[in-house]
Amino acid sequence: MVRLDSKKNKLVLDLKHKTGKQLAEMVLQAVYLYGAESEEDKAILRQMSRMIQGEEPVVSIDLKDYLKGGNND
Amino acid sequence: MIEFSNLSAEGFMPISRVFLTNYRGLNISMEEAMLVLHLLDHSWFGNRDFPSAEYFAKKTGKSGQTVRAYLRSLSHKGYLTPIRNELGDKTFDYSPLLGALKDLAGVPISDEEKPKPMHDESPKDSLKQLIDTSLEMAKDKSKKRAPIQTKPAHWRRLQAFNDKTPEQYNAKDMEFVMAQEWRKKWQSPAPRFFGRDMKHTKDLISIYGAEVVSDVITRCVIDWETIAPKFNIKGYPSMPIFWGFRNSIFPLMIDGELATKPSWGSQFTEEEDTPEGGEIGW
Repeated sequence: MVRLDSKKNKLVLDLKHKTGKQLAEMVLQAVYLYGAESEEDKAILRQMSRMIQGEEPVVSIDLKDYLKGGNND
Repeated sequence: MIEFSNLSAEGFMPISRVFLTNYRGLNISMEEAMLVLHLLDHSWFGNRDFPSAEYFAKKTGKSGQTVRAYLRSLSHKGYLTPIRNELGDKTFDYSPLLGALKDLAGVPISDEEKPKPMHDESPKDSLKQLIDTSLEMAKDKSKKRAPIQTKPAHWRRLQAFNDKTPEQYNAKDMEFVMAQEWRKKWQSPAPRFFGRDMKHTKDLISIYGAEVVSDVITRCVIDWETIAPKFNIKGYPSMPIFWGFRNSIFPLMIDGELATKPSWGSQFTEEEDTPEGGEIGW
């Protein structure tokens, strides 16, 4: 469900589990509510949400590409 | 073993701690804050459209009327902008609310996201002063805290005062007139007008007119240091004092003779007027 990867220094949410999906949804919602500035930002976050919920085919997306300043982590 | 699956069935909602720790500073009450949380949650799940008052009523268990009062209050505070949707129905735009949150967090915000209190496109300093004064007056002295004003009547009263000219002021408005000058001069909460003060103010308005009463109160507060010794008044200006001295302060101020005409008690200080053996009486 939730795994901390020490080597890659990452927290991994397993989207095969419903709880993992809900937690991922919450993360996206936080970015949507407090971080998204334009309709495009919101659209990509909604699309990611639909992918998580299985309503759309999943593709790899990195929000880093959409953040202000480009390569901010 | 972690048992989490049942709790996570409905999902979670992220709440910014900036909002949780600062909503009081934004003059948002606890009930309004809960409404804001429902609104933020709706904005993610639903559509961009603002939910109806009935939606909030269903979620919170409050009546539609109560919810509408909270929404109006948030609107008066500038966090919601009343607009019409495509169907022409009344609704709200909540981008100023999100703008206020971002502002608190130090994120630069656009002009349209800036809160516009009381529907004023360009809030004037005088309006801000009026709001600050009214909130200061609402302070509960015994508890040393300012109650959050959620009643739309409070904001309607401020709006009405702001729209009026001095000749339209009523007794309640005189409380604001005095409080504003008081705050400018002494930076402390002005005395409230209670039942008897309201009656006296009403009587003064009927005798001298609202514009004169407003002018006299303002000038008295401004020049209190010179006026008080002239009438041998101990203490700060208040409605009982204005009422008690209505036959001296008001006529002298109206005629502009406050500085020249002798006032109460001044004849006793001038000793040259009473030469030796020249006293009147037995």
